[in-house]
Parts: sequence; structure tokens; C-alpha cells
Amino acid sequence: MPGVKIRRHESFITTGAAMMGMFWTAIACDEHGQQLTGMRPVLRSHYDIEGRSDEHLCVEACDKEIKKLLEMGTFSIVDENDIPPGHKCINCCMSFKIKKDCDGNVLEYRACCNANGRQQEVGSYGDTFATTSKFSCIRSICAIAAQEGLTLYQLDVKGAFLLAECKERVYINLPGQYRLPKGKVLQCHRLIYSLKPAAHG
Amino acid sequence: MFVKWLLDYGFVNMDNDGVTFVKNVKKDDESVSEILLSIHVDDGLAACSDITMYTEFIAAMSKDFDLSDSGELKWFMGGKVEQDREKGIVRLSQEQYGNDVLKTFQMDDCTPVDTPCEANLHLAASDSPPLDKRNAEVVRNYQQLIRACMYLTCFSRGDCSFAVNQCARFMSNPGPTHTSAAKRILHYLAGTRSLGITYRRGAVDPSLLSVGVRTAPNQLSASADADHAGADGRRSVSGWAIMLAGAMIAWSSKRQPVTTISSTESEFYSVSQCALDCVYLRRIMELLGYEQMAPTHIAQDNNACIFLVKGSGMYARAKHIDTRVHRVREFAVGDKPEVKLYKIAGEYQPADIFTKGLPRVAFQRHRRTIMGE
Repeated sequence: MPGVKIRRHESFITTGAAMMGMFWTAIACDEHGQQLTGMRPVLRSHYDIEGRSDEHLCVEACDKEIKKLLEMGTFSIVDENDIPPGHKCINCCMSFKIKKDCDGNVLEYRACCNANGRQQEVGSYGDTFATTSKFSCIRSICAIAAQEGLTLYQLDVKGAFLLAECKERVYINLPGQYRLPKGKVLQCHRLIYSLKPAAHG
Repeated sequence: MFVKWLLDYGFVNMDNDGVTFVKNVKKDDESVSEILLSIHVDDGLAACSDITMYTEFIAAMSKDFDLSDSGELKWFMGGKVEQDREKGIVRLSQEQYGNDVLKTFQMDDCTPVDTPCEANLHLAASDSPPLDKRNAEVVRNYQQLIRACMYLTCFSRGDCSFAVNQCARFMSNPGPTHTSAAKRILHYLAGTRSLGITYRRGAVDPSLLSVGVRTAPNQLSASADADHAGADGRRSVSGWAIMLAGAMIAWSSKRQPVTTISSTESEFYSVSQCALDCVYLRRIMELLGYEQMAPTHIAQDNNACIFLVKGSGMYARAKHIDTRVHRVREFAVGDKPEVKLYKIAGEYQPADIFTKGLPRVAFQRHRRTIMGE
């Protein structure tokens, strides 16, 4: 984003609500497959990565994610006073996922920016369902592929969530470790994770 | 946005649900090549016979979207997909996910057992502790365990679906017997980590073979069974499976929503639930371009139920049955019947695995049938 500088504090500042990243439910394990977080399956916020041996990798992933969002034109900076009445500024946080291949080797660290969708007011958003496929449909395609000798391919659209335009007015604060100039907030032009209509995009 | 792009590219959306798409192209030599596509949020699964057509599709798509690696399918939604085009085999399994679950619950090195639950398992609400003595920690662990097993069950491990379904009824307040039943599922998983569903070219449903019915390829078949008064509160458990290419593609194990007064009535209930899903999958198959020539055969071990579906017999004790359940009659009679029931001996009824805890021999026999292994 030209002309605007978003700065990340080197030490984590404990602000921003910790929320659940709805779509991030992998089991957090280190490179030896040992579970790191007890019974909690997800690294949910920047509190969880503090003091970890791979903290710098997580922070790097965070920066990459924020950079991607900015490059895609997801946000613009607006003045706090410009928020029309009836609209709230909602918080967001980062959640993390350690992506592994089928043998359990670490492929990459991923961070994901989640808005606190619960702070959105009912009626300020439209359809919310996600386009999930039925398992029986997937299996019937697999069965047909076996019978007819079709080849199965996979498709992965990067940032599919983040492509959709945000039709509603949504204002957010960035998570604790990122700081905007005082009195400024971000307006979303594209949907980010955990906004109510996000999955429908 | 993604959906709109697909429609513009010439895909047809089935069901109007924005999930499953198909595109057919007639080539010069009258043969048809097609792409089948199913989207799961930002992941997709595509099946295609023609590599050039697929390459064109990927090229067109990467112009407008940022596609990451889109090679052959190996890994989909936490499950492993293996394919062998020469032999015509597609295999779904979840070994890595199963290992993760076992590690999470510290059952990695437990003793394997042969069945996911004890024979004739009956879990009762009376084993739950009183509400004021409920231990939040125990409840949370139990819920996490069942959630983890539930995902296994609905993707590739239908063999434990009865056991998981039984345990899942006590999510809010599990007692000691429920916890040990849930642990038993993990013991079973530990011994069968690599098990999965295998679809084979030309494979036929063994239950259909046993009655001498031959079907063309790409035809569905099904079996439905019920355990009368087998669950809490004298409800029955219904279970059914729908098979294609030698293994099941859809299955269910559920406590019935009403109390039935005879075994026939409970079987009737499960047949009707199965028939509804058969009809749905028949539509899907037809939209995918694989016409269902004959009515779908449903295996059933209760003669009275077969007569009842045909519309004859036992009226006095069946007249109270809900109209909704009678819908299956409409599917089974008329000029173009969609389902057809046939009699099969009780011990060869594969859907038995979804209705009760079976002893080892019967369990393994049915598992071979439904998983195609």
C-alpha cells in the first residue's frame, strides 16, 4: 500500500482478543511429531508462539500474511472518526498452522489473519455458508475414476477466501504486534478469515 | 466469484449448490471427454480422462487465480488418495490422521484389538455420573476424542461408524463405560491404521452376486438393516450402505427417531432412509453422465419388510407408520421404479455392521465387503 507504513513491534504487546481460527484445526506438532500444546490442538494467537523455539518462523509467517493482504488491496486506512454511526471496529488476531506433508515433515509455517466475526452485528452481513462438498459426492467421483480409469487431480486456489469482495462496511484493528498511526483503522475491501460471510466467497 | 468463473468457462453446476461441477466436450470422433470437479472451500478435486483438456482448463484458470501446485491427487482433506489407472484402483485412507489422533490421546503404543466395540455393545445413559459430579476435564477430552474419530468415520473409516455413533450419544456427560468404549475405538484404530476404502474397476457387490444378479458397471447397489429395540429407550438402530465399484460410497448408522413396534417396522424405516439417499445419489450419477439403467437393488433380510414395500401384507400392524416412511413405496413401484428390494440371508447382510456390535468373524467378513479390501 503506497504511502502508508505499518510497523510491527519487536516485542509482543498484549492487546487484541484471542479468538479461535475456525478453519485452522490442525494438530500443532514440532518436527519430530511431538505435540507442543498439550490438549490444545491449535496455536491460536501470538500469546501461544511467545517463547517457542520456532518463534521467529511464526513471526516471519505473520509478516508474510499481512504483506500478502496489503498487496491484494484488502485494506485501506481510514480515520477512526469517519466510521459511520452503527458500525463498529472489530478486532482481529493471527493464528498459526504448521503445514506438514503426508509423512509428517514440516513444509511451511503459515499464519492467518482472523477477524472476530462475533463482533459483527446480525443483519450487517448476508449469506454465510461455505461451499463444502459432500463426502458421498467425493467418493462417487473416486469410484467412477476407478471404474473409468480417469486421473484424479487436485486444485488449490491460494487465498480463495481473500479473493471475494467485501460488500458490507467492515472496519478492523490489526492484531497486537502491528500498529497503525494513532486514530486510524483499516477498512476491509475484501473478506478475511472469520468474518461472518467469509466462507461463502 | 470462483463459482461464477467456472460457470462462464462452461461448467454445469449440479444441484445448484455451488460444489460439484461437470463439463463435457464432444470431440471430432464423437467420443466425449469430461472434467468432474468438486470444490471444498479452497480445495478442489478434479477427475479427467483427457490430459490436454485438463491442461487447457488449468492454463485458463491460472490466468485469473493464483493456483498452487495442481498435480495428481495424493492428499485431499487430510486423507490419502492412491490411484492406479492401469489396474483401475482408487484407494482412500487416513493413516497419518489416525496416527495423529493416537498420539494426541497418548494411545500410540496400545494393544490392538480386532473390533471397534464389544459384541452386543449397549451403552446406557444410566452409566453417566450425576450432573453435579461431572468432571469438565473428562468431558472435554471425551468430546475431543469423539470429534477426532468422527472425522475418520465420515471420510474413509466407515467400519467404526457404529461404535463412534454409540459413544457420540453421551457427549454431554460421559461415564466410565462410555470412556472405555471410546478408548476401545482407539485400540481398534491402532491395529488397523492403514485400512481404507478401495474402489476397483469391474468389482461387483458380493451380496448381489450371492443372489445371482449381474449389473452393468457404474450402477449403484445398497443394503439396509436395522436392530430392533437395540438402542436406549427401546429405539431401533438403522444402518445402511450404498455401494459403487466394489466399495461403499455412502453409509449411515443412526438411532431411529421414533420407537417402532416390530422388527419389520424398524427395517422399513431404515430401508426408507436408505432409499432416499439412493435416489439422491442416482441423480448425482445421472448428472455426472452415468445413467442408472435399472432400479437400485437394496439388500434386505426381512421378508415382511420386502412385502410391505411392495405394497402388500401386514396392513393391520403397519397402518400407523408415518406417511413420510411410505415414500419408499412410491420409489419402489410404478412404471420407472428407482429402488428394488431383494432378500438376502441375515449373515450375509453387510449393513449389519452399522446396526450392532458384531463378533470378530462376522465383523471382518462385512468389513471386507463394504471397504472393498
